[in-house]
Amino acid sequence: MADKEILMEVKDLVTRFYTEDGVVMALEGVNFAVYKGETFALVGETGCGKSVTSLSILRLLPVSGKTLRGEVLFHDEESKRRLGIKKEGPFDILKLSSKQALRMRGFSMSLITQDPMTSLNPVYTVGDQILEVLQLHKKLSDKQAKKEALRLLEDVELTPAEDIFRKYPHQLSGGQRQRIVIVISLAAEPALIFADEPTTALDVTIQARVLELLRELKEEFNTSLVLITHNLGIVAEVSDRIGVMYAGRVVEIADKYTIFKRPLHPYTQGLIAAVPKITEKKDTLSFIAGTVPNLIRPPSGCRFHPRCPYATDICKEEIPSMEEAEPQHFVECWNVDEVIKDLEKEECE
Amino acid sequence: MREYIAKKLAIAVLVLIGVYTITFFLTFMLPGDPARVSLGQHGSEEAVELIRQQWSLDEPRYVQYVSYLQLFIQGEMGKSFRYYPRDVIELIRYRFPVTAYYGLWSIIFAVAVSIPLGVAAAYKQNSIIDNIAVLISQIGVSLPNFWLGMMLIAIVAVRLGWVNPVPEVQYGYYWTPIGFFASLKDYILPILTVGTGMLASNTRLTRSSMLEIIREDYITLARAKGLSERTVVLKHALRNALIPVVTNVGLQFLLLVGGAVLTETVFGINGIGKLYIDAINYRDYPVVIALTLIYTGGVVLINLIVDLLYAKIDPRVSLR
Repeated sequence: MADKEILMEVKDLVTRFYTEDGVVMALEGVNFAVYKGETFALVGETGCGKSVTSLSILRLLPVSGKTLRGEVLFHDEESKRRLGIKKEGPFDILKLSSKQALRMRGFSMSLITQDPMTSLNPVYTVGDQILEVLQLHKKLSDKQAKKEALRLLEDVELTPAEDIFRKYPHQLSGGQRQRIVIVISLAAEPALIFADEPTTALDVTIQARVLELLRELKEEFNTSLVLITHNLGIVAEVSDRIGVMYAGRVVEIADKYTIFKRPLHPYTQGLIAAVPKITEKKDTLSFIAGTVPNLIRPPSGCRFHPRCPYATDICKEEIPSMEEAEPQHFVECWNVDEVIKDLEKEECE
Repeated sequence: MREYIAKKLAIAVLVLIGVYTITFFLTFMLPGDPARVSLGQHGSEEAVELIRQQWSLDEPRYVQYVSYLQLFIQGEMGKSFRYYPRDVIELIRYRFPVTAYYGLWSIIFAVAVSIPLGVAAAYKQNSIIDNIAVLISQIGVSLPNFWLGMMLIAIVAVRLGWVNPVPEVQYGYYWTPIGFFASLKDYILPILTVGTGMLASNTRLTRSSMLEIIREDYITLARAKGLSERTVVLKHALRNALIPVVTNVGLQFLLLVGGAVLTETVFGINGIGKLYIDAINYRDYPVVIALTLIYTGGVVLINLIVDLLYAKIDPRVSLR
């Protein structure tokens, strides 16, 4: 992966929500990179900041949310042309004016939302909702746009496209609607798509088909995909690299085989161990002791330390930084050496 | 669609007959003899008896019931007791325009203010404009119409002297193209009186409905497409948010009649409301029954219009 071209670098992203109960420290220095053409999975429990990461980057946070710090460097010449950026090298999405951000959305990056049942506007036909994107970003005439929309519908195997085009969302099934959402997100051929739990609301059989479709389309349109999910099965299926999130930070990044075979962060280890395996004979399910921390008053230092079997004094005081513990395997842990030692011991036995 | 309308209208006929039956027997159960009321205390027994015969009050109840029903089926409404021998239809035709005039303006005023206000309030939740909107709707909902009317007369008309306390406009003038706007000054107080309550409930409804909608996934998706805020709010959010508001506005057309009784009493307007309340006081049964039936017809018609609008706005609604 190292020789691949970088599309987006997220550096030290800090996002907070100002609520009546207090300030929610949703993201506390998120770091990761996405390469061109890859599927990068952001994995973590509910509330760890996966979706907030995507909304922060898309600059679509609700009014209560604010990105305080960080950089999102985007390497895409086409986007620069559209936004009128003359400067050499990547541009920082967080520094775009709101007008530029508007032109960037949908064109440079788009979103596949979680629940297909609620992601489409019930009062407009799906055709209208697809045309909107095509006319906005591709400047097509009505006729051309419609032709393109029909082609896209056929691409996601929604046929007869002519019929589907005229339908309202409520006349389609969940799987069909999710395909429409996919078409909408792809229509302007963005460089990057965020897919936020794209299959959670679907039946298992349809899930597989939609994921497969997503993978094919990603190849066809040569886009990168950031897949946000808590479902490790999906991650294993479709992703290239994985970033594991815990309480507002990405704690471990590696390719998917490494994450599953040789996780180094104690949290990732717990997460992988918690997936029941059919080949193992066990009476109890394994779990990570403790609960997800409250992000209004998060634990000091490493946010995982109250639940961590390796925790030492320094963990309580300082947040560890991301280190390359092994080639292309990044971990954020003070005691990663201990963890590696333990792993080696296990291997010997 | 056509089938749906036909079915609704068929049901309407049954409803009208039911309402007629109930109103007929209820009005005739009221104490007091219309003939006696009309002649006053000093009218002689013979004269009262003569009038009773003239108005068919001496006939058995069921005969009267049937003869009125026959009349209505023929599209007639009988003659008023109080203004005998004038036709009820004529009275209503004479009184209706003014009520329709300020009623329509009240709704225009309420809708024109409440929808933008509700949208703005929801869009900038907890901002100053939101607080103002909430305050207006709280106050507006809790103020009784007649009290507000009297206060407006006392302050705006009497103390400040900006307008006449009682509208003085020539009959029918307000429905001419110029008069429609020129009469506004004369009817501004009744319009405000009736409109404020409507405005309040509409604002509240638009705001809450909008608040719900702008949190929907499809709004996030619309934004993620790169659509401008204007398009997101006015095209994607508003149309969905308006669905409950349409029902409310429909209901308000109906509340107008009830409100008219109070408003017209306060402002001394000779409209439908005044006719209604006077008819009850004077035991003018044909007018009471006719107005009740027209009102019922109005309810049915407005419900039908609301249903049709619903189907127009929301494709998920199918009329069957």
